[in-house]
Amino acid sequence: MNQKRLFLAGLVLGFTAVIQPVLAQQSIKIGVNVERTGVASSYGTHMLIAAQIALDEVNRAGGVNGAQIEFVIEDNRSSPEQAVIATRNIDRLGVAAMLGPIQTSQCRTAFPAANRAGLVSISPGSAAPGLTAQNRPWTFRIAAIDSLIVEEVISGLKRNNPNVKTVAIAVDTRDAYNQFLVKTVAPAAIEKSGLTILNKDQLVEMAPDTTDFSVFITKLKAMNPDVVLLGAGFDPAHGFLREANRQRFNVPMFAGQGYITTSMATAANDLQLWAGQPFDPESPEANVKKFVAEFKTRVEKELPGQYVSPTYIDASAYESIHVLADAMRASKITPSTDPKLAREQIRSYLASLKGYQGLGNVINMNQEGDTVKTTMVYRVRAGKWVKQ
Amino acid sequence: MFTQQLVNGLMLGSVYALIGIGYTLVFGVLRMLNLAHAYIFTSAPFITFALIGASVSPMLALFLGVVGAAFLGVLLYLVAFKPIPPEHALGGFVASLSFGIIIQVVIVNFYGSQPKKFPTILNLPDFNLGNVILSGVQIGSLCISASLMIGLLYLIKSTRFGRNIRAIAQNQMAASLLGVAVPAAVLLVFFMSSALAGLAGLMVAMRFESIGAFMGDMYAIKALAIIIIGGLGDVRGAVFAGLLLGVCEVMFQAYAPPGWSEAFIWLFLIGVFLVRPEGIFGVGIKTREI
Repeated sequence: MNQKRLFLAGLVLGFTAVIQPVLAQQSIKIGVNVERTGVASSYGTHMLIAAQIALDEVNRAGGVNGAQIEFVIEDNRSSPEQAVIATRNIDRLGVAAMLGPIQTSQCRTAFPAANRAGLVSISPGSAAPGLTAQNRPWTFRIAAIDSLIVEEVISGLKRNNPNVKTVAIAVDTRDAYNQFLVKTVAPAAIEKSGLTILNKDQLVEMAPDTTDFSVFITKLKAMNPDVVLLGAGFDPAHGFLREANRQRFNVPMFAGQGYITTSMATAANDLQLWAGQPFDPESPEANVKKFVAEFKTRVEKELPGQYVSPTYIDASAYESIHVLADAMRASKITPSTDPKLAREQIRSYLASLKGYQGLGNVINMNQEGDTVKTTMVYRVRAGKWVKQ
Repeated sequence: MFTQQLVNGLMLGSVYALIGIGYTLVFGVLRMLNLAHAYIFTSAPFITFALIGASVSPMLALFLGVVGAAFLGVLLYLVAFKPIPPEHALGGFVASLSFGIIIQVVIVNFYGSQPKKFPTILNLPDFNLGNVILSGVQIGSLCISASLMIGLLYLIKSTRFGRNIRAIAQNQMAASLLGVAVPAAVLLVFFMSSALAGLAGLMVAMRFESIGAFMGDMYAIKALAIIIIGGLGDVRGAVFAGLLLGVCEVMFQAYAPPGWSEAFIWLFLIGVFLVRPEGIFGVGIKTREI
């Protein structure tokens, strides 16, 4: 009896071993290294929806060279350590390329791992300058470049507030992106614009996991600045802005990327908050309208109560999947193509990407692996973002 | 700026005090740390949030949030403390932590990990005294902490129930032999302690208009520090230590060199232990006369 059971079990295992690679070969895999949980989960869960919209469009149109594309999703838990593990897991599964991570903190660890593994990686969100340049040739960003965006935002802010002269800076001590933004990227742009930083060596540092921002707003008020640069992630920024409203600290403020969401505008309410991004969800272009409508429908269904207007991260994730599909089409990649060869061909396509029609912009890849896009500047007026 | 920061510190400290009172109450009676306290703190705003989402009137939802947290405390006692033999010192410690983590996992699965906007329920105005702004909700929190401290001290010192729990704190077996209904009294302590945690959670949610599954994490370690600094099991100590910690935290954040404020706060706490190892008040429920 036992021998018979063992024989049957062996048969099932053997059959599975034979059939599994055949089934697996019917699709081309793209890894997604995403902040699905943790502090950046708002970005991650929305980005996944945007990427899925692109994936569905590609597959509905017949896929790539006759094969469907599928995602292999790894949650990096918004943690730099976990982002490396996610990259290794994705690499082991023989994917053609990887989308993500979103945030600079995770890209700082995931990009070197991807570069070592020879795995094409595209971040749809990271914007700190020089990150892809340090991890050539396998890493790319279809996102934005902060230095350009900050310059444009300051320029818009100054046009509207010609008398401003001084800037005070507040930063979340645990947020690597914002630390880099306020210590490296923004000071150069601020000084170039003729403004003076009041606390360059004495930044107002907000403790990790803070929910009570009253102490920091009081401290900033005492400096009496004309403008505030807020270097905080998505969640703490909401608390900061609400407290600034409560203390009626209504000097113009500006921030890095990822702020142009409805909830952030509501939190800013009467404050003059400025931000920029390389994507305009109000663009009249047909492909943008279609994407924005589909994104809203899916978010309302899958993430009820959360922001429904796509950010530049979502738009970039959507564009990235279409770019990857085009790269695979152009390179005639099929499920049976050797993964190493497929990755090399995709890398080569991305490195020479020029004039690609994205969502309301044209994408050109520079030598450092970053795309250069036009910046749109926004400010909050009465709780709503208004394009300038 | 100094006066405003002092007010900010007192306001933050009032929340710490409210959490600390409930925390210390359980320790005073059972001599066991209830590590689920911070998670029960988180549960109340989510109960209220869910009820408001189900069209329950906001004021009733607030009340039910506190009651829900109180009953969670009763359940906590029944599953995580009552079955553990008193001689098993770490049993309640681990069981209550497990209970708390389960609460957190339930919240994450129903509401996700990202913070949610908490509706404005009590539109209490802020007050201006010269350049100092006083938050209506936090003044309420300060008043509630003070009233609860006075009420609890009266309850512990001057009522039959208070005498019972002091007797239990001193010697559970002897109290039982003298006719004290130990399980009922302990159950009531858990009910009250958890209601206080829930109330503190709701105060924080209303003040910052934001709730999240991990909102209790920051308060968990600080609440532990509060009850130790205040004197284990001492209600007056918990209030005093809560306010002290709130003021120190804000002052260090305002005036310490950038990046060093957290280290200064904990250095200060070590200093308090060195000077008063038994806590500021130090005696607790147990050693006062019955």
